[in-house]
Amino acid sequence: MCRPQGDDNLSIARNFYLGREPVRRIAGIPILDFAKMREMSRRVIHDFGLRENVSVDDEVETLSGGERQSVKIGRAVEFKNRVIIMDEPTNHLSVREREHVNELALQLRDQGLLVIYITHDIFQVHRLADRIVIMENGEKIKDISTQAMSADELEAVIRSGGRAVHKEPPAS
Amino acid sequence: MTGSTFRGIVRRHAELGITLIAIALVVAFATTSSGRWANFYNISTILQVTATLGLMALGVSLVIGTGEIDISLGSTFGMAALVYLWLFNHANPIAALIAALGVGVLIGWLNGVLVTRTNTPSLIITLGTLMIFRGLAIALTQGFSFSVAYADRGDPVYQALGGGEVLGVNTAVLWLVTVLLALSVFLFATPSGNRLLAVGGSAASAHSRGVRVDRVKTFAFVACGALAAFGGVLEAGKLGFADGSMGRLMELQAIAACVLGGCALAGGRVSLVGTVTGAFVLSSIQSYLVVIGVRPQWFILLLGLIVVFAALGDKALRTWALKGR
Repeated sequence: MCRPQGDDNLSIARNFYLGREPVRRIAGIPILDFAKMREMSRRVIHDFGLRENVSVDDEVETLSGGERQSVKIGRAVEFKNRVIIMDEPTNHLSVREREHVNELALQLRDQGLLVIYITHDIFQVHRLADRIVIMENGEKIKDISTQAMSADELEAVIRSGGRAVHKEPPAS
Repeated sequence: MTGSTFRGIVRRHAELGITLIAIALVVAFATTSSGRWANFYNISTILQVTATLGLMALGVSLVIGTGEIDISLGSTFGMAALVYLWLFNHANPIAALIAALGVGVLIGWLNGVLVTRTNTPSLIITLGTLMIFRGLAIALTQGFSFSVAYADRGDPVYQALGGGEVLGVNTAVLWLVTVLLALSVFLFATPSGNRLLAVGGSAASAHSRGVRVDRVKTFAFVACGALAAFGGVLEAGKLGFADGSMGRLMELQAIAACVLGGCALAGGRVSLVGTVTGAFVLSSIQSYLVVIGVRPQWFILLLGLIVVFAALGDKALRTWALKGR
């Protein structure tokens, strides 16, 4: 869900509800409930720390990478998703924006959501996650609570491609 | 602040450019043709041409909105005109209208299914159907034309479908206005319209949000075929006859009208008002060339130049509007 590209041509309000548009029926025809779409999008812009001068009618393409991620995360919250999978959410983001997205991930966790955060950066995830799973070629080679291993130790596991754990030397 | 407000207006109203062009051309044409262009009869003719071309262009703007293209609609236009006239003479007007629209729906559906099921570029598929149905139209007419006898042209259905006038304006113009309003509501105020635009912006991303991309695209092709067919019916009603070459090259004019009107060929950005204004500009130019005595063959050359410059101008304007964000 967190690829930086998107339906950039749509306004934030339209993009936010894409696929689940709220409607009011006028003579049986479903007409978009613009008031609700704008209201919710405005709240997201405010709550998720987008720039002050961003309007709900601006196209998504006018947003920065971090702001786009914020909108996507806001959507997950609004639709009351219980599990949020963030696949490389901080790629192509500036340092400050990366911090912002990571903070949002922590906030979501604190609200009781399950966040699956996929990344290559073990040092980044070590600061965020409660539990770390290292995968290689579709196999789980490490599944551990964060306190149990330091980031450096985890990096060693990754460097060795899991061999340290997985392929134990044959018993003599 | 004023600069950025204006940028916002340009960003949100893609039809701004074509509207300015239209105003400038109307003034220029009216002042340089000593009344031969700007008179009621000529303007009403331009509006009739705008109506049939505009219906076609509105249809193709939906397809362009999804990021595809339909160049077969000149043949759809011609086929529908022939079917309408033939059945008008051999059955009844309502059946003729339904059958003609059915032909458009069918050709559109064929285009849509072939494009979405086989993942083949729509340019190739619709190039094929353009030739198939043009060939069919020529084969069906065998060099003759279908026509409706003057005695039969008083039929109220025939009159309502482009064959008559209301207050001096061809009924096709009223249909254009009706379709423009209906499509505007559909495209900009319904969930389906929102999804159509999203598909054009990024099909993969729209798909990831649960939008049925293939269905949306097929729908756009069907609507395009139906509107091109409707345009063909109205044109057949106006002329009272049609032959195998009816609607030739009109697909290019329709696409040009979309591009002039501010629709992005890459998809995702559609201006319906702009598209109709584009159709009006093209028919105005055509009419101007006629009244000042330029051979109409030059129209295609001029059309090409206008499209190239409009595309460049639009890109420049768009780049400027997105700057400084």
